[in-house]
Amino acid sequence: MDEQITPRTSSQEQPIINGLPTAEELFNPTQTETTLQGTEQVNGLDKCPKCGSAEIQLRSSTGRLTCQFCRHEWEPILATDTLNLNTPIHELQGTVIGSGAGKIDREFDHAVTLKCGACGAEVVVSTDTSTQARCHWCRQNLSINQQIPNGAVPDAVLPFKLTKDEAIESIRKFAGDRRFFARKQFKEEFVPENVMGVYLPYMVIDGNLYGEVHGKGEIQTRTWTEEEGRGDNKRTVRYYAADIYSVSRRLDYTVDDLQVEGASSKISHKDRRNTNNIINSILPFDTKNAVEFNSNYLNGFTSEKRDLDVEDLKPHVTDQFLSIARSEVSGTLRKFDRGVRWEQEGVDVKGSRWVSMYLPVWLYSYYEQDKDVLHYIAVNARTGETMGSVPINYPLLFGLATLVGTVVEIPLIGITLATLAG
Amino acid sequence: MHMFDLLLSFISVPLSTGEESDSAILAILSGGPLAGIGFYTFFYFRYRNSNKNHAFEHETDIGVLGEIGRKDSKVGHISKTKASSISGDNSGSHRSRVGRISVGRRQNP
Repeated sequence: MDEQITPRTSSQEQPIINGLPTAEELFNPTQTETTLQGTEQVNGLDKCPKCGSAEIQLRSSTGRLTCQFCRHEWEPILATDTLNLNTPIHELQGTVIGSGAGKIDREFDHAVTLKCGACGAEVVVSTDTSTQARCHWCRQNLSINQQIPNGAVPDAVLPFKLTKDEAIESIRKFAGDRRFFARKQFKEEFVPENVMGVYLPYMVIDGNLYGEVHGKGEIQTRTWTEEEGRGDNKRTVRYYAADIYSVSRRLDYTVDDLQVEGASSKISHKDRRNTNNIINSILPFDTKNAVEFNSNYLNGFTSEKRDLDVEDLKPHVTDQFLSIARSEVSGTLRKFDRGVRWEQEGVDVKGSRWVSMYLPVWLYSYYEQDKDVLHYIAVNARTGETMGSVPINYPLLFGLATLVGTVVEIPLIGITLATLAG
Repeated sequence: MHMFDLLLSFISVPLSTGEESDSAILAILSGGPLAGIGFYTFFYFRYRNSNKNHAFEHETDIGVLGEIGRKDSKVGHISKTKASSISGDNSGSHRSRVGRISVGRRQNP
């Protein structure tokens, strides 16, 4: 589950493991891939419908786009409507992929040139961190809203809801509750005002699935004690008798909006030099409220480009589908009071739907230089859930742990000596 | 009764005979190191949260269609074992992968 996932190059094929079906084959190969298309959008000047200004920004408190010039606000368009995501998941067949979740062209230039609709100048947008740029001649704001095959434009975006001040307050409280054992340097350099609003790329996946698990289970039939040894070595031993069962479980199930990181730099939790698990732990987001992608939602925030394809993610997602099946059947195992050992498992992905989304995170990062660890404190900018990693003053923690151990041990030594003497 | 006397009365029984008393002494004396390790571990995870991640098994909307199919058949008996549970119990470790099998394609019930 926690393997390193890297974007595949065109020459790489899915590895075949022990002759068993690959994740690619598990995703119903008899069905063709279909693409979901949102409404047609335009690049360049994206104007206020009331006054024609291109100065448009998200107003977090309402979740609406607002014209900075005439203050007009308009209703967002829900992605579920434009991408037709409301069709029942149990009817999904084959692989359905949003146009913004399509295959990434690794050769595609990250710099996209837009022609300014106001003055005709050509403006370059670096899509690595943004999908907007200001025309250097007439100062108009230019947006990329159409799909480009480099992962920079997702199908949908979930707008920021928590304001920066609210995020700062959450981060301050989180770190404040962990002051005592925090490194002195961290405490001195802690500036929550440096928190960044980042749209991180995710794949949001629906699955129509069939799973099987097989293994052995045991039910205790008897337990008793026997005296063993002689003299001073005499001791009481407990024994058990049990019936062994072959256990199988089968289920048809659906998964709605499974959220998986779309950036290779964030999906792995194995590298001890970063704390990606922190960002992962603030999931899930209320992705049902995601809106059709519009670059203006990104105005004032940074974004990270998706670099993982559906094909890159299939093994990871298959593992999660299997884990969900195992979790769902666990409630049927109560009679096996000595436990169950699963030995085989499999999943048939009858249908799946993949939509790429930008999800909003307030991210505070701190680099612990001598240990080469990047610590995050992350706030889910929709639910407010906060999680973080705070660098520890290890000598202080170790010293106090030793003191606690000693304080507990001293009376125990006294009791032991008194008992032996008595 | 003083706390010390109370503790003494509880542990004086297991200290009564040979090997049992040795293991009881060891168990009592391990209290200090265990308290220290517990203190360290608790605060390490409270600060670093390196054990936290998205519990997608419970936090994602899952729908089970129809009944979960069950087939349990008795295949053997253990007449005497010291083990209090099955070897390799992984029924609660949903993310530990086991042998992968190919399963047939089905229509939804």
